[in-house]
Amino acid sequence: MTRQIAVAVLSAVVIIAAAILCGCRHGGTTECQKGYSMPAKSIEQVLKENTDPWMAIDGVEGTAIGLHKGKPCIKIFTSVKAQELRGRIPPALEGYPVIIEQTGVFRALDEQ
Amino acid sequence: MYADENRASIGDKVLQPGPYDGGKNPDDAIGTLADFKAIVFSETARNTIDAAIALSSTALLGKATPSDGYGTPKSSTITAKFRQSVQKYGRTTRLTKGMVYATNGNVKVQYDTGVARFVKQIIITPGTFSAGGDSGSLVVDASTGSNSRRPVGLLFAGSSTHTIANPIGAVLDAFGVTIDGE
Repeated sequence: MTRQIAVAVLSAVVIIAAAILCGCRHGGTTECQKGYSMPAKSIEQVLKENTDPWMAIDGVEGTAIGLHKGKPCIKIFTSVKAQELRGRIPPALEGYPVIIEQTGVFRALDEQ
Repeated sequence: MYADENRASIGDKVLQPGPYDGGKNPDDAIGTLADFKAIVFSETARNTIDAAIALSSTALLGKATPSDGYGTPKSSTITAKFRQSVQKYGRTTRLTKGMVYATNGNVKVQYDTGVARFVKQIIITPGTFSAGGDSGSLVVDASTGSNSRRPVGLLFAGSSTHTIANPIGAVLDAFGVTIDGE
């Protein structure tokens, strides 16, 4: 009986600790079951820190914050195929997915 | 568009319809260019709006879209949110509906003059939301709830897949004006 109580208490402690360690905040990308770590930085901060070097890459037309499978992600808009840039842009950064999308060049929409 | 990529001067006549659609100066003038935010043509610039404002009179203007549009926008604006349903009425594609696809957009935009980078932009899909000539359209909420027709952005650029709009709050703040809507 004592051992059963001890096991139950230990289990509760483990569950609570796991919940604290994996606690989600800011709608980030924390997915304990999938082994993702919780982002230490906000997605806005990660985007700000990396946009200039990404925008300097030929074929990158823009960056933004969007959604991927219902969670915040970084979007990279390109005028070239995504595969051409994957070697220079990681699939995830600081815990946030980085999604490359071919949008083409953006143009001012005056009379054309 | 009124400012013609920084080439216009304050006081220039603003025509409706525009010259591209046969508008003549001064017969079709509805006002004069009152102010515009100069665009910095650089891939490292941090432009936030591409907008100009004209001085006109209530006798020459209406508040609502043509009858095949969404009607009169609200005066109270709203910040764009992911998956927000939006609509606009424009010169080329008329009434279209779309969705806020991404926010905090940093984008390079191609003009006749060169490339300009914009920050803090609203990204809208699908590609059919706009086309050339729709620049200047007011993007408003398209929900059926209390936010319906609240202004969200000012359409100015796009590709075949996405449309880009300035946050409407930044546009209004730049000129110190509000929307005379419903």
